[in-house]
Amino acid sequence: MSRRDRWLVPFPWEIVTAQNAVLCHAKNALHKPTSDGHDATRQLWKEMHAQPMNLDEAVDLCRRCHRMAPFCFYNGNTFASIIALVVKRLELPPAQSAVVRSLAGHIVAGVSTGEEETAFQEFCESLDGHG
Amino acid sequence: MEPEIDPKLLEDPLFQELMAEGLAMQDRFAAEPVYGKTGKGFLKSAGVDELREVKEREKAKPTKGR
Repeated sequence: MSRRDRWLVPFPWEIVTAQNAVLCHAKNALHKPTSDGHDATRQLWKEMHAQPMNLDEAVDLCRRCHRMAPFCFYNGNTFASIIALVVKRLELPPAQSAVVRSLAGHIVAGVSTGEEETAFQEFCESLDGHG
Repeated sequence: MEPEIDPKLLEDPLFQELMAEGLAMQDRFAAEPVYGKTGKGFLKSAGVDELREVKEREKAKPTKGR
């Protein structure tokens, strides 16, 4: 297993948008693009999501897109759920999977501490040379 | 607004899995774009019950050979 891969290629912008629609619908919230964040985020995602990148770069792309707020509501779990699924597909041992998922989720949510970011970086580095 | 989603997408196992992930964590996130507005995100701590459910789901998963 390498930390460099096309981690986000299964998630084109159409899926990101549909995911936000589902999440908004579940809470009776308006699913609508923002006037100031949507186009720039869509462009960034379309340019980057299919590129080979390190896992920490994939997490950071999700974090940046969350912060750019392409939708009026529920940007956070739109992008955090994508990275949660990426981590799930690593098929790590359950305890490690829960920790890595939590670290990645905190980074995407914008609430991570320096220690968490370091721990996630160390996990990503550990991917090289395994598998 | 009623979301218009491609019906084929709703039948896609990957999208179904993604929806389940997003809905399971929905109540931990603020609806509003807090991170974009303030530069500081928001995430409600996972409760004990939620953590236990995650562990039980992981334990229940069939192990896959590589």
